[in-house]
Amino acid sequence: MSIITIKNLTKVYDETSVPVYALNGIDLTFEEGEFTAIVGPSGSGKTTLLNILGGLDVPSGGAIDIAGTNMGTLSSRDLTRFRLHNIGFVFQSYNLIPVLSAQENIEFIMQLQGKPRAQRSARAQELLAQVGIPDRAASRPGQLSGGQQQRVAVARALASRPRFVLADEPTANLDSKSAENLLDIMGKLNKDENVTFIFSTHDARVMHKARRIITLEDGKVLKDQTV
Amino acid sequence: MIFSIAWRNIWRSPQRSLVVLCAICLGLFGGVFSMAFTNGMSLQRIRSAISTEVADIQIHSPEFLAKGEILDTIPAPRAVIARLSALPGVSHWSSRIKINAMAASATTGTGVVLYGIDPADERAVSSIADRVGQGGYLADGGRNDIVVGAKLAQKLRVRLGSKIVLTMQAADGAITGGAFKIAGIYKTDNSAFDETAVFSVAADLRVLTGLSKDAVQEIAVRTADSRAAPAAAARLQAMFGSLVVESWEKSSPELALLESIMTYMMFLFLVIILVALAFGIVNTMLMAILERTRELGMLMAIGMTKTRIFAMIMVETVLLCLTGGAAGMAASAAAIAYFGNKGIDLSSVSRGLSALGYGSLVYPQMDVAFYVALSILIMATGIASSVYPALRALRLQPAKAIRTI
Ligand SMILES: Nc1ncnc2c1ncn2[C@@H]1O[C@H](COP(=O)(O)OP(=O)(O)O)[C@@H](O)[C@H]1O
Ligand SMILES: [Mg+2]
Repeated sequence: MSIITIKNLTKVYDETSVPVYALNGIDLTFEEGEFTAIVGPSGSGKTTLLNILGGLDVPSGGAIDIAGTNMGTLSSRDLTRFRLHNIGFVFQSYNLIPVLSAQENIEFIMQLQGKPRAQRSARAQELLAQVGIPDRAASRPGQLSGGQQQRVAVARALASRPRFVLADEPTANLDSKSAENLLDIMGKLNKDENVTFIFSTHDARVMHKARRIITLEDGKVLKDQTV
Repeated sequence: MIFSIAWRNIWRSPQRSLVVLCAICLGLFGGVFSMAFTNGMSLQRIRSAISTEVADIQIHSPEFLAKGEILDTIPAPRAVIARLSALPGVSHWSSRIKINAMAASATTGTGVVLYGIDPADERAVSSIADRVGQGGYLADGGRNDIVVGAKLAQKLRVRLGSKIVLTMQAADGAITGGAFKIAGIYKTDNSAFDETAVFSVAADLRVLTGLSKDAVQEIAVRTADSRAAPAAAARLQAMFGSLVVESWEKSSPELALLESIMTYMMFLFLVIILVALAFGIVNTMLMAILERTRELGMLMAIGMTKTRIFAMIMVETVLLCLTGGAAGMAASAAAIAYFGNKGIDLSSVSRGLSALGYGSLVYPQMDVAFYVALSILIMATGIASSVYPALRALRLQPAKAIRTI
């Protein structure tokens, strides 16, 4: 069964003087274990789509069902809890709490979930090892390179054991080597741990690592190819 | 973890936080130290008034309080003393003849309150004997010695050893008088008192006025602790229903009022300081939140509920306040301890103070209970100042906040 089903999704930003039709009738389903890139030119609606998939924004029309939950029925508080337990997030930047170390950043989300201390600490160390920086546990974000910060962000996103991870242009601020490294780490986690990743990018070097590529244009799905 | 995030967040812009911390610290220091100063002043005024003027408890007949005449004496004073001396907490007492008299020197005259006392008893109750700067205190009777205040001596233009004539009503209603030699000149903190109160040996006054042995108008009582005086006075009053027993708070209501008004005023002053500080704190927190828009959006996105965001900002604000508050209180406690021991010399303005009954060395003083109350007040200030910034943070929408440039 698919974990995400979206039907006829639309999003209009109407707070501006001229309403912006960011998404214009999108139908998609995502399966468990996918490694999917959402690509398209800037302004095509990638961020808007990911925000709505992640319950950070509400659609103007259409329906989203995540693992049997109709997202439209959740209150803001329930939505926050739903995100905490079901969805991992990696943003383009400002992913981490600057005053916490890498390890603490990863533990933080587990603490929000109410996990016991010993479990948090063990899981954080395991994740740091999986993203290849076990020795940077005590470093604060400011002491890490951009690529290392994004690896911590990926580890943090996985810490809550979400159903899937949404990453909006996770490599946009990275040099090409770090970008490829990050994608390789995500790909490995997808393969070894069956973590579902849906990420957006407009970077050609990154998108070919995906196994499914959804191309957006003007808020519509232009292409949906499985590699 | 919310605590450690909040605490570390304070130090993200150390400069900005230090400015607020200094403001809180200095504001509190100013407020607390001036409170301790005034408090020390009024306590000293009260202590000094009790030891020189009013004692802890005064006992009179109701008629004396109404008319103040020589025959308005306390009935059976020996019995009264026998019973009050048995009361726990009562340490010393002195029976006093207290009559109005006219004092005349060679050049001028004025009205005075003339006390006839037993020097040994009076020394235990009043510190006037220690305040005699020129000459000495009263000793045995028979010489018509008198001790007057410096202010009165100045007014009558007399010196140590001078003679003055005191005229008063005698027990039989006639007018009587006698010449007294100034054996000592005292000076208290209260020049108004010094101008009117004169002391002579009771035995001498009895000869002059014909007052019978033991007849007194006033019994002054000291208790071990002046704060316990009202309770002791109430118990004495219950014993002696036909007399009027007043603690210092009753016989000198202005002293009690002084204490409560001063405390009230200074507390108000402190609250105003805290309110002013609150505006600075609100401003700082608003800036901090504006700076952290994207971070707050991220925290909301990954699953931090609004309640937790609110709590985090509140904890940060309260910690900021308490840090500044602790520094301010420590600084004031240190200054109060130092000056409370050494005293602050106000002799340059002491003439004016003395007219109001204040000493020229002020010892700032503050109770521990005050610091406890102040800590709570500071915490309340922190909580109150956090509400607006925290609400502002809650208005953020994660999707928009993350996109903020
Ligand atoms: N808050 C907003 N208000 C108005 N228009 C917006 C807002 N956010 C995005 N848009 C518009 O919606 C469209 C899609 O944007 P976005 O989802 O960010 O695309 P992408 O991530 O592919 O660059 C763009 O035209 C953008 O200008
Ligand atoms: Mg985008």
